[in-house]
Amino acid sequence: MNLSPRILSLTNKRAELRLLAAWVDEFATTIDLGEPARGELQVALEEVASNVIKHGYRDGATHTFSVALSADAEFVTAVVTDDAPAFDPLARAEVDIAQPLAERPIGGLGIHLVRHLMDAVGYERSGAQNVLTLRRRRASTEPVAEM
Amino acid sequence: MEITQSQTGAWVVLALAGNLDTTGSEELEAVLLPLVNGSPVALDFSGVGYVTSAGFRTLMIALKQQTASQGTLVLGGMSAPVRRFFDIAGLGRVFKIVDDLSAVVSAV
Repeated sequence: MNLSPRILSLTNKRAELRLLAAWVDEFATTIDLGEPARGELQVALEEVASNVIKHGYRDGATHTFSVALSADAEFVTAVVTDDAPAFDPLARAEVDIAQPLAERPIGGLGIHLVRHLMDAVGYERSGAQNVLTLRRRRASTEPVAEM
Repeated sequence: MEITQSQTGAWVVLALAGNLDTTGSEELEAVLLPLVNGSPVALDFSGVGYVTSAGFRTLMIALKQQTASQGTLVLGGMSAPVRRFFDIAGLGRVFKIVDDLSAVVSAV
C-alpha cells in the first residue's frame, strides 16, 4: 500500500508543535501504525520541528515550513522543509551520553534521539531550502541494550 | 497532559497521562518543580505514550533539584517503548526507574 504524501504547513511558533502532534497522530491512525514506531515518529518530528522553530530563523519574523508524511508497506517517510539559513543538524557532533549528569549539556539530546529512533536520516540543502528526510520502519525493532 | 497528585505516607505520587512532549513537559514542570524539595516524589509513567528531549529536560531539572535537596525521585510503571526512550537518551541509569512503583511507595 502506497499513500501519497500529506503535507502540513506550520509557522515558526512553539504552539504549532501541538498541531503537529495531533496531525501525526491522525496520520499514524490512518496507516494503522503501531508502537513503538508511532511514538518514535512523534518524538523525532517534534525534535526536528522544534529545532526549526527555536533556532531556524533569526529575524524575529513569522515564517512557514512544512512537514510531509508518506508511507509504503515497509517505511514511513517524513520530509521537513524550511527556508531558514542553511543548517545541517546531522553535522552536529554526537552528544556524549556517558557524561555525568551534572556535566551533560541539556541541549543536543533532541538530534541524538532523532538519529537513534529513525532508521535513516538525511539532510540536503536544496536551493534556498533545508530538506531533512526521516525514515522509520513500520515494524518493531529489537529493543536496544542499555547504553 | 493529565497529572493526578496523591499522597502515600511521605511520598507524593504524580500519575501522568499523555505525552511528555514540549506541551506536556511545560505542564509537568509547573506541578513537579515546586514538589521536589527533599520529600520523596514518585512519577507514575503508566499513562505516558512517549518522551521527547523537552520531557527529559524537565525530568533532569527536577532530578538535579531533588538531588540538591537530598531527596528521592523515582520513576515507574513505564511501557517498554517509553523505557526505550530513556535508554536511547542514555538516561536509563541516571534516573531511578522501577517496574512496580507501588512496592517502593508503600514500603516507606
